[in-house]
Amino acid sequence: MSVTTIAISGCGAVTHHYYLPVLEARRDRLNIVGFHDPDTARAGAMAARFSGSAAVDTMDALLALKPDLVIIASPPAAHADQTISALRQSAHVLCEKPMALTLADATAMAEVADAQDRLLAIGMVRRHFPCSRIVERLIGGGWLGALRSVSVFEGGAFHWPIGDQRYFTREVSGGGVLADVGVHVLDLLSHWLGPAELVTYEDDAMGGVEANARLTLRYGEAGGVIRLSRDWDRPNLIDLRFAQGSVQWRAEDMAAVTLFLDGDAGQLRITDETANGITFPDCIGLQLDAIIDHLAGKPARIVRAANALPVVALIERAYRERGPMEMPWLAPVGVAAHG
Amino acid sequence: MARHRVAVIGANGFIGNRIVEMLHLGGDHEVCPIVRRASGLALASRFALDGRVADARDEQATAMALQGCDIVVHALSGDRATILGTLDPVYRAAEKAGCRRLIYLSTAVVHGQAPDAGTDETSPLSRKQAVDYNVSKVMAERRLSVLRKRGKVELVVLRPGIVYGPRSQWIGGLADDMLAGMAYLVDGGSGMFNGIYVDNLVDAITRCLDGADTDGQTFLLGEEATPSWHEVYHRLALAMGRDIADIPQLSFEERRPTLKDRLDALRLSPAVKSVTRSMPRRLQDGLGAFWAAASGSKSAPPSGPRPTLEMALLHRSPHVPSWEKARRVLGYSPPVAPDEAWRRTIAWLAFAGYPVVGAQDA
Repeated sequence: MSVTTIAISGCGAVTHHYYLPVLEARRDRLNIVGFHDPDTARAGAMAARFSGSAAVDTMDALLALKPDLVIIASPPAAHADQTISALRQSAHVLCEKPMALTLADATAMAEVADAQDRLLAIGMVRRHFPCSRIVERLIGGGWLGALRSVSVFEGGAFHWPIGDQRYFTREVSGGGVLADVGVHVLDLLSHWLGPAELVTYEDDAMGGVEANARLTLRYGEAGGVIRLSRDWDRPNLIDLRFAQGSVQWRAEDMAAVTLFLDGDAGQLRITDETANGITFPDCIGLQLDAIIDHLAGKPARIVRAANALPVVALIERAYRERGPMEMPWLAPVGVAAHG
Repeated sequence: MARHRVAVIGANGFIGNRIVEMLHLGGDHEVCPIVRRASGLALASRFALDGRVADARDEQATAMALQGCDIVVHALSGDRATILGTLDPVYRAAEKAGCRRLIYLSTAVVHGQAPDAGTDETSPLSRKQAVDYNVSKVMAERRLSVLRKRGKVELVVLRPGIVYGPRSQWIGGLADDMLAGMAYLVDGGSGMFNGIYVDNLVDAITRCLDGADTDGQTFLLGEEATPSWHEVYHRLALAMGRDIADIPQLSFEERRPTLKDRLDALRLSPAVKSVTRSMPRRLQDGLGAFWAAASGSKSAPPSGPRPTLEMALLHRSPHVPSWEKARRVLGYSPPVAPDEAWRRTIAWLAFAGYPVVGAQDA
């Protein structure tokens, strides 16, 4: 089928900063039929940018507009219910990450998609970064030999323009930095390297949600350390070491990676010259285009629900088995930091 | 000691965050973090706390945020507009909300980066200082004194030295500079480091929560040990496997500052770097372009370290102010000794991903 009508649930920062410019750039071939948000003023402001678009305050009203594709960009706690509602009304769905707060919810979403024969795609936008494809080709080519180790340090002070502080609750967001940035990092790694096995998980939550997290993982024979932070700016770096060399990627550089070859071969910066200056919303656009192409029967790279389930499972297990991060400076003298 | 409900304005900053952590984990008081934007609650939300969002320049919003609190700690930093623009709204909001006391975090550099021997709280303050931050804080203290005379909310002003510890720009920023080859010492860094470990500052703050005799008082705060700047740099360099000998020793000639000098001094001051670090990366990039344009250079700020007046004064300072009044009146005696303070600070550096010798990966 060809997708011509799109509706969006959730009119927060993701929609404002990412989806609006993408949809506005495609207004000649897509019909944006409606925006849903409990804050009708916010929905109204977005709908006003698209001729004939409606602003509604219930999911039922949104689905009554009969969109071909619904983009779920609401708070994570609403993803499962809204996705299932849309699928049952025969809409295809692009659901933002994290897919759901629990593996049970995510599995139910995938099952409904199958039962309804609808597409449920998950917004793993980093797979559409040009550098992601470069890494994929480097690894897939087999030139680097066996994987030896994985090291990731990603994060910085948190600046995302959230609506209110409920974002920082397990009930709304499923967790902290692991449920947020961690989803992207773990998805990319599993896409490049195959499934991961959790060894340990630690974070700094003390009754709330974590701002720092540390996972140790195994990718086959290779060990991995993933450090995530909403706390302090450090170079955001993914470092994959192989028997014959290593690949490094800095998260802020969407178009290039650096390849280090063992011996005297030096280092190579590999850039997708066609993608210079590419932005995050551009990649959101690539993701949307891929879904539309897929639904039109064209070959396209999409992340189906089934592809996203292992990361949901991994994160759920991590939270279940969490231990406290060691922070010897934290507690006042004589007070234990972790209750 | 009575149990208090303490509002921390600027809870997302380095000191504000540590006040929240220590008061909450200590369990003796309730703490209410207040930030300008909801995103600023990322660290405070590690705890199950009643975090609130209010712009401290907005009296009405701040009064709402202060509801139920009896103590307010003003821990906001920033440029002159921020420093001065939040005083009246916060004081009046505290009155409206029925708060009993405001504890204002000023700074020892109201006496200058290189104070005279024998400087204490009785030493006169001057607005004729070359470093704008110092002048802003002098003006802030004077304004608060006026507000206290006219208002009901008690006031305690604290003047800590250089506050260091986990998440301090003086530590993380210096580590960044060392890694980037931008660290330097002026004239060998033989001047005295007037440091105070952040936990020691929070200890002093808790000593100001009660006591009628402290209303209207000002306290300088420091530590027993006053190492040289060279020793401080050496500790940090050693922790990261660097050789202190590789850090350039620069001279600094005081002259009438040009516009470019003033902009560079502002850009490179730890207070501004601390605020810049808390900005989104795009804004940081934009600010970098602004500095370049405003200072007349065609590209980014110059490469290689360039000493600023502020750092030159600090690195040469032969004296530190006396904090005997805090010892006498507050009973303040730094609970965390320097070696332990540095052990904790370096543990944090490793945690934050700096290349600390002997630390586990990330």
